[in-house]
Amino acid sequence: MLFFNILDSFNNLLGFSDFMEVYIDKDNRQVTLKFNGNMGSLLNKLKINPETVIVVRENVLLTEDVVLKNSDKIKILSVISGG
Amino acid sequence: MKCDSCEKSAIFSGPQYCKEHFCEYLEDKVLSTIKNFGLLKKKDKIVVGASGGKDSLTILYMLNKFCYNVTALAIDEGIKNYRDLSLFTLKEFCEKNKIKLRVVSFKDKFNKSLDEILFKKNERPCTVCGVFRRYLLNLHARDYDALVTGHNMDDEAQAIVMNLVKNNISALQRAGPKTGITTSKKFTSRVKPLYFCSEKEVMSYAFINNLTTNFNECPNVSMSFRLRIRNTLNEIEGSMPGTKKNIIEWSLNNKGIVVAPKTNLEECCVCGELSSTSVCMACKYSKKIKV
Repeated sequence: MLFFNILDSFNNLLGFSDFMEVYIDKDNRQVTLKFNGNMGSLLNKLKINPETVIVVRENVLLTEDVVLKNSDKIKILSVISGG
Repeated sequence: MKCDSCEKSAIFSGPQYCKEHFCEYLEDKVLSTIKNFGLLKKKDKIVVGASGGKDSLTILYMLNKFCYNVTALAIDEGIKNYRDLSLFTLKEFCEKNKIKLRVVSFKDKFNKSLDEILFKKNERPCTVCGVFRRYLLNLHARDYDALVTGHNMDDEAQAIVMNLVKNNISALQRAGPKTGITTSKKFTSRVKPLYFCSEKEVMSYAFINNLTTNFNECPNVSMSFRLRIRNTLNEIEGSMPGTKKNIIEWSLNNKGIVVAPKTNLEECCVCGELSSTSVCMACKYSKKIKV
């Protein structure tokens, strides 16, 4: 068990974590998933229209072509009206 | 994806820009709208209808940055867990940026908050809220040369489609970056410098400049006709980029084609404010909901 915990810590440090964490603010929910692909295909997988959100990683906005890693922590923020 | 103007990575696509060039692009677009449509003059005394949402914070931030003389005017409708949060953000923002802020409330003027009105009466929230909000904005914008609102391209495209669906020709005729042009001292012209900026552009700008982290939506929005139109337009925009821009450009280019009957403004016989009928909508609603 200790071995796996240490391995996990190393993986996290080196950016090889197994799961991507995605926070979707509209539903106030966190999704953990395995994913290979770019930001556009992540939105497609989650059935989210790119027109309605901005996507952020480490406080930086991402364009749809950016390739994501499983260790990434992603925030999907809804583009909604004020008023 | 690289920025169109430098070697840095793009943070926005369509057009592709890095953080710095995106901000420059959006600020140039707003300045061009102000200039091309004659929205504001440097010496103008300007009031910005501010809610504390991303749109009003963005336009307040930009106008302040461009050295315009701005005051923020907030209407507190009294929507628990929504307006209180956005007003908190707005107060912090105005303090930080040294912008004067005035807050007026439904409760003070009409004796009830929107929550109290909706609790007792089966009214459509956006209709009541819109009538009272416009009334208070107009009343408190009187001493200013222009009332700026944070309406963006998405808001305007939705309004145009809604008015088409309702066959509201006079509202279609009024659409544009500058509205409410009248010689009466009781009406301040309304201007929309974000008219050609998409909601996504404004949101990205607000995020980059750290203007707010409060991106909550009004809890009453789910009951609005606008939400259905918004979702439909977003769906179409996804497969046909440029749809929203085409709608507002169609509206601007075809103003002369749809001719609305002239409406003469008169003074409301109850409150004395400007109205197209003998009793204004705010007074009609006040009586109806007995506020």
